[in-house]
Amino acid sequence: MKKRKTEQNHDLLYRYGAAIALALFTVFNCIFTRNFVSVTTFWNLLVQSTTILMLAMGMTLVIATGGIDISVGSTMALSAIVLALCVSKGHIAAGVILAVLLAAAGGLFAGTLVARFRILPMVATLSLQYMLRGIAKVVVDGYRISCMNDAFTGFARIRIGGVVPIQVLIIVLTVAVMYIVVNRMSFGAKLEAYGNNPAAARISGINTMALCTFCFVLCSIFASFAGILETARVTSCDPATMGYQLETDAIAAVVVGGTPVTGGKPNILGTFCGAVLLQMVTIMVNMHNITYSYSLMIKTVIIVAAVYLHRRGHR
Amino acid sequence: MKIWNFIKKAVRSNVSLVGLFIMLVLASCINQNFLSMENLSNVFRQISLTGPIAVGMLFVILCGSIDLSVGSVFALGAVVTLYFSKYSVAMAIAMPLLCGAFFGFINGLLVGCMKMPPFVGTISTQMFIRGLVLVLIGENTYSVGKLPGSLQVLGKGEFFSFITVPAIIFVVLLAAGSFLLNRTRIGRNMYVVGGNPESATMMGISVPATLITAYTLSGMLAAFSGMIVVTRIGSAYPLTGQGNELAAIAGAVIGGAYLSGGVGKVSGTFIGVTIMGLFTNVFNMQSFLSSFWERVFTGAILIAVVFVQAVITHQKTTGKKKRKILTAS
Amino acid sequence: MANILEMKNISKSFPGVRALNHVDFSVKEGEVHALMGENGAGKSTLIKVLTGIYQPDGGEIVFQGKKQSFRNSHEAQTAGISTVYQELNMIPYLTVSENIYVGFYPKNKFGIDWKRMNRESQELVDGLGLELDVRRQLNSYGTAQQQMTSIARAVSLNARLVVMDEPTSSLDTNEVKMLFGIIRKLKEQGISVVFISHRLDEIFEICDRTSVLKDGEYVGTYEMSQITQLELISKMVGKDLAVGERRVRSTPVDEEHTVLKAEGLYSFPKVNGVSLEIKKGEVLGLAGLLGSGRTETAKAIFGCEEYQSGKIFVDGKEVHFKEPHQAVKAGLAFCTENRREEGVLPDVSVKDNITVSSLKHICRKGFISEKKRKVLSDKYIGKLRIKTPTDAQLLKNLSGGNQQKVILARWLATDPKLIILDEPTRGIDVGAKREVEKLIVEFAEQGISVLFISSELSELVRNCDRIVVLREGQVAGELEDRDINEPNIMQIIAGASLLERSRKEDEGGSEEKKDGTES
Repeated sequence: MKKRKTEQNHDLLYRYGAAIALALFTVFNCIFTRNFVSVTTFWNLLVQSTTILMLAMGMTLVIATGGIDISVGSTMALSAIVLALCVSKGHIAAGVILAVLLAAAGGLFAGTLVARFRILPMVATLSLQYMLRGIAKVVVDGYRISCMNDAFTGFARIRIGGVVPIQVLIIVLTVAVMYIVVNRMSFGAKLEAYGNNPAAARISGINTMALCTFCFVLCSIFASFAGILETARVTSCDPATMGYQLETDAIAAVVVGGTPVTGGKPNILGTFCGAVLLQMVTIMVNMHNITYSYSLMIKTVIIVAAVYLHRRGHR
Repeated sequence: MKIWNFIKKAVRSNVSLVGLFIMLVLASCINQNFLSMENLSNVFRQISLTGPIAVGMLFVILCGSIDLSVGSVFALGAVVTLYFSKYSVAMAIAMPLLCGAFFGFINGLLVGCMKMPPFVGTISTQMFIRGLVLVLIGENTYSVGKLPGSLQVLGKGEFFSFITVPAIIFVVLLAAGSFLLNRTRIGRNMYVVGGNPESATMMGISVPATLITAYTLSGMLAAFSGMIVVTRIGSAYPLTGQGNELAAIAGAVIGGAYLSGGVGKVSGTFIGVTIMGLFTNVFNMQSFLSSFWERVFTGAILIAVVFVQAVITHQKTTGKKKRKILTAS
Repeated sequence: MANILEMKNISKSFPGVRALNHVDFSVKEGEVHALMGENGAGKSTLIKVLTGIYQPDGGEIVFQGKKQSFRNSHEAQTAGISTVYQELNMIPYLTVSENIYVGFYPKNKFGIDWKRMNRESQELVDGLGLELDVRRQLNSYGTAQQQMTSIARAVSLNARLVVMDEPTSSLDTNEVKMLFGIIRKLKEQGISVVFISHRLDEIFEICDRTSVLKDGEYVGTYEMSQITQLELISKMVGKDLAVGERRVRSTPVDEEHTVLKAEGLYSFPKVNGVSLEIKKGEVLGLAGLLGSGRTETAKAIFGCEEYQSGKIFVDGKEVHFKEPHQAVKAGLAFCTENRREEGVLPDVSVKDNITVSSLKHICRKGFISEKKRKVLSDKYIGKLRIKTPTDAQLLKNLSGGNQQKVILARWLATDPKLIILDEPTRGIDVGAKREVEKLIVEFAEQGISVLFISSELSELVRNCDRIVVLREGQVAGELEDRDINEPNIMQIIAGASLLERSRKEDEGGSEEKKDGTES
């Protein structure tokens, strides 16, 4: 009986750990960080975490299958470059569609390698990370593409009711949709089963190959969304820097959020808290006049601590 | 006849030799200057700078794991070398190796003892060390002026104008790595752990200890490589070393190492690294495709090699099936 | 001869199951001692206690005159007890020689002395009569030779007691001869062997004594020369050979409707030409020894594993399932034998575990109706009397028996035409066993066909309408209604070997009692 109780407590840690940490950090900042408690900070925080959040949403699915996708930054870059090219010539809609399709193709490639040919996700996506970024650079010969298209860039500056940035609306919608998909649809149930015990899931009649491939495709599609939003916001796209090394942040957000790193139930709200938390660390570091480089180290410690705590509870 | 047998034996133990041969042929077709002494020694010079990283990666891959932090450790090694060059040459050599060993040890703890999946564990270390490097030297290229002569010899010294000091050290490292893997218990344990981790425990081998050893060596070799490169160039920019992990993995895998662990050789890694080096060399010599294509090809080569590996291992089980059915009926 | 091993009063329990109940087991020096009993009798638990994998709840182990308590298998090995498993415990990519010497390499001043290692291991291997080139990679050899490498390693580790777990299940007759030759050599060196097997004739050929376990209890130890095969069978299955109570069907089998038909199934390596038929509402038992290919046949039918040739028909239509989800869609269900690896979703709730295969019944346009889900899950929790505090309880917290019931519930919830049950009552307590059996009967009466794979002959006898016996991947015999009883099944299983023995006797001309009739 005692064993059950501690297990339940630790399951709670899995599910709400990130939210608790987020709350703690918020309180800490409210007290110790000057100028933290202001409306601008609040909106800034959410807007700035959009990119990571998008990447992390897709990453949550892939990690839930027990795999990993470290090519999301490069996918983001390639999608963004293609989009920027189209937008600078005036074709916004075509650009968006092409960007998403390209990303989906990349995800399909990775997913097939992993699901059908049993190649380690690490290696498949590491190679893709290289290839896609190389292709992005090839397409524009290394140049930064600016897309000063008012319709397009204006979109990123919309504020709903004059107050709420459009990115926040997008975040809320994305998290809501993903939450419903994972927790209320059969896709989520199958994903949880597959992450928990792939062999059992397969025998139970779940089409595991299709499921796994689909998660990789979705992950890449989310990466393209991140690219689209980011390009709209900064009105240009540099193939070398767009999305560079952001995969680590995405993984961090997912891991801190409580999705089991070896596969299991995706924790969408946890990922949301994790992404915001990590962004808060960056802002915090900034506001205390610590150099950005320290934030990398702090984030690492958070990741390791998160994995350790989640794991310990789980055993 | 004897030579033919020798060739057959060599190829059977190192299939990647075929790849090397093909590479050489292709390269000399593309550019006549390719097989010149000057060019080849150039290639060898290049690969001896970052080759040691691949050897360290081989150790980790043999255990069935992977080390994504080698790029960052490389940078750290470079920075630490530069810093301590102001004090003494001995420290400038010892400290980076110690740092590499330390972080390798941490990797080993994360993956071996805490049982973190290798990609999460080593990506975390990668991030941490990269942050550390940025903290230490800021965002600009770090330089300490002229390095003491003895250090410069390390990176730039050469004999007879084509045998460089790094090349000599690389060859020594290859021999040492080969010795470790073939003649010591610690080395053989890596094969056992990678081949069948459960059996390894039953046979009395400590899987965590073996992993820690492999990662520590990998860290040391990555730091060492950073040290060599920085004594050659004289300065280090904070984002140096990125991409080294892919090159190292590619080198080991092309050389015949199985990513699932248990199979791989130092000689194979050497061939793999050489193939990659030749590839870069050929690529730089041609002007048809822009330099950005190099990344694309490197990634594609790795996928192709891994794919072929996967198909072959799958075929080994199905191939047997087909044969048995034919004999049964 | 002294006793090299004495296990006294060993007891071991798991949640819900008493695996061993005050069991005694002794082995003399230099003897070959068989350990027999049906599946679930406690043999593997006893061995795991002996080799340090489990710690006993009670009793003591005395080895070589000293009281021992092994905390892990490595300690047992160092003390001189080695095990040769069915599944390989060696490293496939390394050479035979190296596998023998892992951890104990001979060295010289240049490090590991390969020449000496190869020479000494070749001597060792030759000394045991094996024809192995120690310099070859282990996986270039078949399972038999890999097993023998395992034995060679045990010898090189100075084992005084070697436990062999079903060593002959993957061997052909020549390889069995080789193995017995090695065992005799071990005997000469004073090494004792514990021989776990179901194959009666082999046991009679190579063993000196045998101990029998049944339902976790120690039945007795017998000299091979003083017991007959039939007597041994009776010790394992029960006091007398009376026919177990067979149930009487209330609804007859629908002979007109064949639900599943398999013709000439070949699936490397274990299925070598299996054909069978199951009618609607029929309970077909699949009997045979461990390794006879029953599970592999089921997996080939269900799409878990490939098969190279043969045809399968469901409801008269030809099918070829490449993945299990196709079989499930066609109305098949498969309750696997190792629920831990292939059945249980440990961190998923009971409710979700039960409904995971029937999602399309409780979904509308992809959205799960939680109401329908709960209704479905409650229905089966009630029907199978699954003991759980709530349906949100994670499956890993339930007892083995209840876990098995949940998996059964999962399959029943899909409303299948045919359900394949592979050792459904393994590792669950007696009460739960009875309940599972009742259920099998119930849904057979409702028109669901059952392919019932089991090593517990009494189960098969009680519940099956027909029984097919497999041996070495082929159908060795079939039993219809009236002929179904345990001795008949055992005799088909032991069948050809009895035939062989009698043939040898005819040729040799020695006088021995022939037991039972050939089938």
